[in-house]
Amino acid sequence: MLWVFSLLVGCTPQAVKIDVGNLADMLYKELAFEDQLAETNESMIALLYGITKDDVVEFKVYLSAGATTEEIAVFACANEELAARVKEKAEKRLTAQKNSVKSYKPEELERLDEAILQIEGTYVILCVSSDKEKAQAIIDNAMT
Amino acid sequence: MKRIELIIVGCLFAAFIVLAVCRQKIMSDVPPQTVGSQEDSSESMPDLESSESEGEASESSAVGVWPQTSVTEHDPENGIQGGFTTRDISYLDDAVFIGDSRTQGLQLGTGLSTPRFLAERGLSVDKVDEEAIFQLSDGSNGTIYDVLDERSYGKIYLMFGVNELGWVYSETFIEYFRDIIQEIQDLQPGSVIYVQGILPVTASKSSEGDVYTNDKVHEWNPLIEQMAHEEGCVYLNPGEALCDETGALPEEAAVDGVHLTPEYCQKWLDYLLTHTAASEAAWQ
Repeated sequence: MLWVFSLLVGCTPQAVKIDVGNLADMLYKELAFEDQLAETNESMIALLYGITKDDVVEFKVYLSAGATTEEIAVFACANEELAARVKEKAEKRLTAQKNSVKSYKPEELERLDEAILQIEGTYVILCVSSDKEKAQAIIDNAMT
Repeated sequence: MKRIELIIVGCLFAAFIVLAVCRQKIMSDVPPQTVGSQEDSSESMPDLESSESEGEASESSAVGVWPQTSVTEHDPENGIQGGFTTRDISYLDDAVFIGDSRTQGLQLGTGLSTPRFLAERGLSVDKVDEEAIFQLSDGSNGTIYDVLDERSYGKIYLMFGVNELGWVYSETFIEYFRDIIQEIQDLQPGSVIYVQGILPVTASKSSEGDVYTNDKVHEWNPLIEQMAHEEGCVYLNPGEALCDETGALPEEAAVDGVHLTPEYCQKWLDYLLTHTAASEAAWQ
């Protein structure tokens, strides 16, 4: 009986773990971005995403200052429910960006359409770049 | 007789030397006049010094210069009243920035979150009263004017022009811009309004076509400056702190030739903080 229980525990998928800062930095360093991205702060994240400290326990976000829509955001949440909420807010940010550039810089729409927005357990990852494949590989490698 | 004259002259000469030495000694004992530091001026308001020229001082007793070497000459004819001075970032706590994607970039590139930014990609002077995209206190969206109608701001920074460079008539641009300023003055009668000239583009962007040319930027900026002075606003030209000797943005300042990188956004912010109206009362 104990043996069966142990086997079941062994089959339970382990929670994903991501080093938030390291993943954001890897994406920042390894991908070729057109614009110079800058790391942003909690207040700006609240303004742009509507994401506050009540939603996330850890984050690292890099932004373009406007020349492009390139962006990296990695969020760690306390639970999966909060992660779903954060993903929803990140989706709204993407939509707002699309609306903002559609008539002004339509060439940016392609990049936004190709954006990675991924939820992994309690983590949410957003990456707007011109190299989706490489970005995806970096994200996949970051999961332990 | 001649000998007596020589003695008198010798005595007078000796007395002169003694007086000169004493004067020198007295002057060296007087402490040098204190010059206010930037930190001092940003935290507390020092007493206004009277202008160097008596005539200027009598024209407006409220106008003075801050005791700082960075203060620009008082020059009301050219719109400089009381000159500029340097303040710290808290000066912008009650500021609002209005403009297009470049103003938006100032926020994104510097992480400035305390001042309100009413800026949007592609926003032009003819659309300011139409674009109801800015959040109001009740959660709904409104125009820039709706936001300004909700509360008072101490300083209002405006920058428009890059999206309008394709317009045929600069007069039309100035007309719209002037209307915006007048509307803001009605809504915010106690604010200092800073009107910024258009930031030039990079030389490579300027040579791409006929629209985004630095020739046009340098042709329009004096018109903006004149309008700003006519409307009683402070004119600022951040381009002077960002551009190279040819009057263009350096290539590394903007990857697309127009929108500044974070490093240059910071330089822009530094320029704004070193060019604040020394005597705000003169502008309110």
